[in-house]
Amino acid sequence: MAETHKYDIVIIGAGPAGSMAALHAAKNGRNVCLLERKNEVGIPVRCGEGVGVKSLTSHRGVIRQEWVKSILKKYCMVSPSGLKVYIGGESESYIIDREKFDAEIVQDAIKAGAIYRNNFAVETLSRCTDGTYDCKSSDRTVNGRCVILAEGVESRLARQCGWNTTLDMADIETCAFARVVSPLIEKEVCFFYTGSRFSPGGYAWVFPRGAGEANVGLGICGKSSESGKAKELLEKFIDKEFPASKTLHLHCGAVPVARWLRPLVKENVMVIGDAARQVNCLSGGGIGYSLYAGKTAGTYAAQAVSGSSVNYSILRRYEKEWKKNFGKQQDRSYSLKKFLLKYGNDQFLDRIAHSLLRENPDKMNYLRVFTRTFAKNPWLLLKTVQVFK
Amino acid sequence: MLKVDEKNCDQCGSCISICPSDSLILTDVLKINNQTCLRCGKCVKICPFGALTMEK
Repeated sequence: MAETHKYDIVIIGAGPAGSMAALHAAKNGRNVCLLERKNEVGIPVRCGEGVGVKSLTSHRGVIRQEWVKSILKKYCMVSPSGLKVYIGGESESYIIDREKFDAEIVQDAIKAGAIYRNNFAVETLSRCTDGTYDCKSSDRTVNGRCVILAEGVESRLARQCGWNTTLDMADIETCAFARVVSPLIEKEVCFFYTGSRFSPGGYAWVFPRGAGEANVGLGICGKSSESGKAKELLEKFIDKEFPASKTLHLHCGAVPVARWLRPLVKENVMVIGDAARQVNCLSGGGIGYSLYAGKTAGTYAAQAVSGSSVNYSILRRYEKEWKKNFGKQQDRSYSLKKFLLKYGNDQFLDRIAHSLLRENPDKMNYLRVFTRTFAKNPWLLLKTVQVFK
Repeated sequence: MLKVDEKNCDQCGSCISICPSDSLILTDVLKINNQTCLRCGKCVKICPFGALTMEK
């Protein structure tokens, strides 16, 4: 077996969260190693590739034309019976090319001094007698004084450190993702389809990457899932919405829609991104949260290892900041998701769509959707209050 | 016994995230530990591609 290389910080998983952590830890002068199970990052793309312009700008810091595929200004919700409700752009979103986006963060981390090892599947994570951690694959070992887990939805190594990261079937969306080419695809408008026919306990989406090409996918609640169902439903959905289209690829994956992991730091191990369930439970979006968590965890990890021992209270600042800035928002999204799972049947969604149709789309925003919904369905307010209790 | 059809497995890790006994691991392929598997069938249900089967 090859010799064990020692690092200040080892990061497991080179998605947006992990490579942002590596970038910021390395930028602060630490000895950093970033490990990735696959040969290449970013592919296959298991993502709708949508991200808010605001969070992308503030967390990633740079926007590059090479990976911005399109700018979305209009959103359309399609109810189960086919009513289309347009919501005007109060906030813009980008559809980004995840293959290029992910690879670029890794390159930035390497430029900042991080060591990158691909085809490195960590099978066991164990604490040594000196308090450091050994990350072992079948043929290699890397040692770190501090470990950041960014292993994605699986969150398997976190279990070896004592976290319970096994998701409940109600807290996972099982998804299928396709890239579709069709002349029917509109530029600039993204569509969300609700209803039990194609996406029980979730939604189907069409996110254009420009005119004629879109990411089309759907998620279904784990409780409604059956073997192979997500793929089957997506193929039917594509046939119905985009007949005679061409599907370039179809992949699958899961999105955690659980409360964020508590605690986020244990001993000298931090958990970030999908592994820490840092995902908006209503939209399933997690890129913005992951960029933020990676940057914050990487920066504090770098500070915490500056002395001869790892300073646990500095590591904990990552959790405090997450909680203050996004933790509460994420908790709210979880409560709303639970509410919708319970009450959001097809009839309910159609009724909401009906009452929203009379609104001016340009004046419509999230808040108005809710106030309108409550005005039409006062009993909902009571139920919602119960959910938040 | 839990079995994976490697041709059909997309290596997405969905099954790992819900496995209550930590019996699945993804390296270059999905590996199953049938010694610890509880045969609960959750992974079979969750698999978006239908790549997992429980055989007697």
